[in-house]
Amino acid sequence: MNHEEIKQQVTEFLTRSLRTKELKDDDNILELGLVHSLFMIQLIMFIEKTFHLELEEEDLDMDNIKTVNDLVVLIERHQQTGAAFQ
Amino acid sequence: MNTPLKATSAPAAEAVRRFVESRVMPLAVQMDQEQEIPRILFTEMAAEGLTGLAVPVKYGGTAVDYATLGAIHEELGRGLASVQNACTVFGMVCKPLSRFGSEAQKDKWLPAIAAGEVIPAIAITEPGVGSDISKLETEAVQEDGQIILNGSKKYITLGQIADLFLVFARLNGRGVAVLVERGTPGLRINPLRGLMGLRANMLAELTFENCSVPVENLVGKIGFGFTHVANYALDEGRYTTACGSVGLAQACLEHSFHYTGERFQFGEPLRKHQLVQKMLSEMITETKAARELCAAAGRLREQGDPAAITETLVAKYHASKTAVHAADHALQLHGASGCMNGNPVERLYRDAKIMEIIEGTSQMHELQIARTFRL
Repeated sequence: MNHEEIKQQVTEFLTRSLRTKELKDDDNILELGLVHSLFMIQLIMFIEKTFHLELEEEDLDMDNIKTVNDLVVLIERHQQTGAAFQ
Repeated sequence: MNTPLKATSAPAAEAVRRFVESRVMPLAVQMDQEQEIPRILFTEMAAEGLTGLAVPVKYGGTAVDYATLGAIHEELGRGLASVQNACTVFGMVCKPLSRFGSEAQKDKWLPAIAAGEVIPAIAITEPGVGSDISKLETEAVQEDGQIILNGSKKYITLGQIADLFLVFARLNGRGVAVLVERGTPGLRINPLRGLMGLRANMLAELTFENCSVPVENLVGKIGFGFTHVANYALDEGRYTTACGSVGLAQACLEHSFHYTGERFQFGEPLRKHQLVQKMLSEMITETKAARELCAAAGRLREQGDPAAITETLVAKYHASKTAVHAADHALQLHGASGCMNGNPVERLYRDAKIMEIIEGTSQMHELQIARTFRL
């Protein structure tokens, strides 16, 4: 999956999970007050299922994954380091 | 705790039904009235693979798929809700421990839990805080490589006999999850008896007074306690409670079907009367609908679809209400005999109401469903 495809998947997930119509690449979902209490476990499910990645604990700090771009960087980093699982 | 890492074969729902009918149902009245599940039953459940349902095979568990997990919990709920809910607690500890625990924690605890040697409990609720877990008051302080806990927890299922507690607290305002072993100095356990339903669940109140455990007992990072670990546990608990509620409703239906066929009024069996048929029809329809909602949630969970979280909320909400309605109908159909202590329907009526309260009340589910749909 290339950069644009990853970004599209992430944006689609966030708008669906957070029930928002539009989300720019650098919109801070924490500051927008969109995050609900079940968001984090939905996010873990989404990333691990869609990109076949096994997330580490340090990946899951909300302060580091609060925009579409943050998430794309995280996913691409994992793909480059080969941290995917079958 | 010298447990071999040997995978127990996954228990099929049919095998669990046989186990429930031979080992759980005959003891149901006793467990309800004596307010305890005998320790030996946990050993037997472990031999059936029931204590390791949420434990990965690598750690000696059975790690069944969600469809099987749902079917098993339905069978358990059909037998005795207290036993079903005990298994829910095992899942609520093992699932987040498998996901967020350190390798050392997983190596130490998961095989022992799967083997039935260690009984776990999850400690979230406090005397002053229930649904709003972000406001938990139990305080944790990190000092010299130790986590020191002060505060209290209430209504902790299996608290009377648990060997290991997954405790949620606040450290510098951030949520943490901490493993605390029974017998740790500063931990006091006070049994709570006389619960209306799920009476065999051996509830306890826990008091922590400068209760100190190594910092290595933290499950997940500081700040992950509520948003990650607790939500992971509650999500798992909601699914198995939903399926257990279906089993409870099914038990109500079976008892009612049998009784209304045996008892005659006005010259014919009760179930030949149209108003009785109406009640049975409602029970059949609602139970089937609840089962399908659980199956839908289970399919999404198995696929890892994020929509599974909301579907599980919907399933638990509906299934627990179905259990209450089915139990209400069952009691009405049984009349005075159903109201007698020791009659299964009397117990089902009491147990059903608790299903609507645990792992999030129906009202909290309504709010959550509304929020996730941004109503």
